[in-house]
Amino acid sequence: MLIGVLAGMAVVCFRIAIDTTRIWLLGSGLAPASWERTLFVPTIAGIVVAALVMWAFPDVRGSGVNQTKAAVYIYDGYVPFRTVIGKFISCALAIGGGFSLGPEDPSLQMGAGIASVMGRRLRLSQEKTRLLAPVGAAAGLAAAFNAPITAVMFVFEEVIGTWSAGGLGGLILAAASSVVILRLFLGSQPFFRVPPYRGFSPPELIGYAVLGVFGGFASLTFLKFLAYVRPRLRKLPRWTLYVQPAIAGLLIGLIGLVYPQVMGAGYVYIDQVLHGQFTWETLGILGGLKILATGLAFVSGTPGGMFAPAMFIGATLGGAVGGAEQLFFHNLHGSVSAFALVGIGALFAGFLRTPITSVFMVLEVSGNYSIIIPVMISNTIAYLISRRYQKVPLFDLLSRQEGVDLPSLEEQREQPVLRVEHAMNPPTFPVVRSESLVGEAVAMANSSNARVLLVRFPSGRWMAVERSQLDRFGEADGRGRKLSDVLTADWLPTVHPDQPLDVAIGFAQGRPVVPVVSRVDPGKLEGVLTLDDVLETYREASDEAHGSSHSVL
Amino acid sequence: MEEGKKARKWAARVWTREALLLTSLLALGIMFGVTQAAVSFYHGQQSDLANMWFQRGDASLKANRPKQAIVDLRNALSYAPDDPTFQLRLAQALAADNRIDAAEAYLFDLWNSQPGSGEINFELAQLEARKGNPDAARYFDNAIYGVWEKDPTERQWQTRLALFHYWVSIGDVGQAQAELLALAAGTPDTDFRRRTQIAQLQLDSGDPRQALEQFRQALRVNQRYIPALAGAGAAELKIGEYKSAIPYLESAVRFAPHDRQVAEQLRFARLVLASDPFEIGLGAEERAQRAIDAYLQAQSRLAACATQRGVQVSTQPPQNPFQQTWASGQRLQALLRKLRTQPQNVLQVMNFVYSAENLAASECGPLEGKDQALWLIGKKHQLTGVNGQGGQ
Repeated sequence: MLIGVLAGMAVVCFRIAIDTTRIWLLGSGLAPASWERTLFVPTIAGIVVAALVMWAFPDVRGSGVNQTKAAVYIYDGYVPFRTVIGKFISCALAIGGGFSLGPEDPSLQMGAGIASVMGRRLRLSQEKTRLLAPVGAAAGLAAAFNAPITAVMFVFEEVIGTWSAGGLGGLILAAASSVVILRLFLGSQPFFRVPPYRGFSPPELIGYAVLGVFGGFASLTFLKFLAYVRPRLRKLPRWTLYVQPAIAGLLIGLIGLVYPQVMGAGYVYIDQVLHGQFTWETLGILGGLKILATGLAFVSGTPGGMFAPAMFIGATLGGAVGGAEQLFFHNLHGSVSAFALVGIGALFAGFLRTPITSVFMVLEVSGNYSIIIPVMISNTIAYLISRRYQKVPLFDLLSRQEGVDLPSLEEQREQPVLRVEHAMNPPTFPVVRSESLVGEAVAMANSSNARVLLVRFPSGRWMAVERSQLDRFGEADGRGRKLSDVLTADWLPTVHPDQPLDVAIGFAQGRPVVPVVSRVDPGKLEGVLTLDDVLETYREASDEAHGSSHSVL
Repeated sequence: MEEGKKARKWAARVWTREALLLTSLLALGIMFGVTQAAVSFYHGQQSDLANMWFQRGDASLKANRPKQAIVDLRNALSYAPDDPTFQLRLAQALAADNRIDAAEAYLFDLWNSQPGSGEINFELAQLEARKGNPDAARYFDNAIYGVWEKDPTERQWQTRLALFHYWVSIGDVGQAQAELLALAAGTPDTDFRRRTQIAQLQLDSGDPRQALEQFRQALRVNQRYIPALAGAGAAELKIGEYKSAIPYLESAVRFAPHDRQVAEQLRFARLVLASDPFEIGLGAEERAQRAIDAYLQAQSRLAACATQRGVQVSTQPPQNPFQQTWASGQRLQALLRKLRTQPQNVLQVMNFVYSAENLAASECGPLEGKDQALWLIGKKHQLTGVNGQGGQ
């Protein structure tokens, strides 16, 4: 909770810094006060930001999400406080100076940094410090978004990758407390007001599906731009890193001369789009230019996030599709604002590749559950298109461009889970009942030529008996004794065919065989598993995954 | 020795942790203070900028520069997005700039948060009326019975007046007249100016009897109020009560001798009275003379109109309405000579007059002067015309 409170206050100050910088540098109107400011403020801001990044805060370059993931997976939760300060200053200057970037990603990293500092100062264990970074990230993102559920979902979906009850509690508490702090200081009004959604008629779903297609291809365009341009700019001589943000700023300024809406984070314009303030043609142009402006800002190495721009692009694209459909298909009555809202979700799903977060985000910002069907349709289509043509998701792409191989959570999610049924063999081992005589067991072993026999007890439990043991039991008069009387070995653990193979590997270690039994009847043998079978299955799966990962890069 | 060392280590650790917690709380307090100071500065700045842009936008809107007003008001709203006054003014600016859909979006948003607001309903009503959406009437009604922050009575009156104009614009005269009745009922007796305004609207919307009643009420408060005098005279003329119209019009002319319209109405009223052969109290001679004059006037007008249309009226046998009407007039020649002794035939003559004027009016445009007076006389006395070809 303390992390949430501190992260919340940091984000409040960050937002104030961005707004105040914008007013000082560009003027108090929505559009810059003059053409000189439009052109030169982003350019000069770019020079200053480049100097800050190169000389003072080298770690602030790049994606805050990836840096937080790196802190979790590589640096034991360590995020330097210097990075927090660097993100604050450089992002406030860049976004306030008109760069088309958002405050969410830096807020997420600032939250993680604050949590990391607290963990270190309180001398928490390495394991706990590692867990604190995502908690701070959720708090920072929640305050930046004013949406705690979305923040928690995003951190689980993109940063942590797995669900755990312990982690969930901490994340929720931090996210909730940071949002409370944000609302305490800045009020409870959302960043953009969503007009009431009046429900949909079934034919409108076709329109939302079309929006999903557009959202998918817009996401793809954005991703491909980053995938193509960013590595090429990174390969340029080092001195160019000083001028790349300035050139990007100049280009953004040039766009801003005609369309000032693309400058900055753009929340105010999202509000206007949701209130039908633009024609569909203008919205289409704005969406395209925002992709260009944000792409330029990001590939130049200017620190800042892409959540707000993605929302802007989604809203404008959705508004454009909705407006065009209203114009050309009069029987579709979906409002432009509903399309804009669904468009935001589609871009989130297609560009950020967080399908679950995208649905929750739209629900949380709209406060309307009835929009869920259009959102699900549109988001799924956008996500599938983006994934089909760009195998590597955004954050993995960025980390690989930086030469860091962070775990790809999307890939992890999509990896097939290996189960016992994939490795088990048919029950070829001879099975004897525990009431059988040792002599009968020896005869069975002789006839089957098996090295090991499985012994089934009436209780449904199992033991394994090796041929050499049987021979020992059979010496003297032992052949007439029951197996249950002579066996003293440990019970064999059993597994079921649907259980993950990870569970079985521990059981197979040091045992000749593990029975795979039915869930309904523990005495019924479905198959058998050996350590060799398990390892062979893992090897095959690994070879397959290795081959496919080569093919996608 | 060993135990003492352990205890010191433990104490140092605990102290350090407590100190760190204390430091954290102190840092939290400091950060809270810093944030509070920053937020105070920020809110002050936002509020100042919001008001500055709003005033600029308001001024631009009043100066009929809606495009500039939109820019200014959007700037204002970027600092105070939930301010309903700013939103309403932006919607007005958008509507003034003919960006109806955009204005509507803002107004719907406002309406959802304040469905009982008179002002928002009124703006929405006007917008829907411009779009031709029948929901306009509902919003007007909401506005009339809604909450107005400033001067509610006056705003409700103006809203009902706007609703009247809306009904007129869509051709629903009945509803329009009903709104005027409601307006009249809600107007104080002493407010003769507003009552006269209502009466004039009633007169214009084809309800001269109600109009006359309102004019009379206004005159009870101020007998010298010229618009009411002229209006009452005009209403009497519309009803066909020419004799009753004359005193009102004479008074109006007396108080406003330069008002040419009222003077013309008075002259016309007198002309109608002087031309009407059915006037009570006329002698047989005078009645016959008026009928003969009317006959000659109508015959002349019919011939002139026929010539204008390229028709020869005296062609036999009559084939078109001009020739048929002309022929029916010719058949009355014998009656005319005996009219002084057989005054019952005046009706037959005046039926021809009405038919002729009616035909001329429909074929050659509006009547003027005495022709109009004769047509009105026919209408007033519910004449049927020759062979029942009366009334337009």
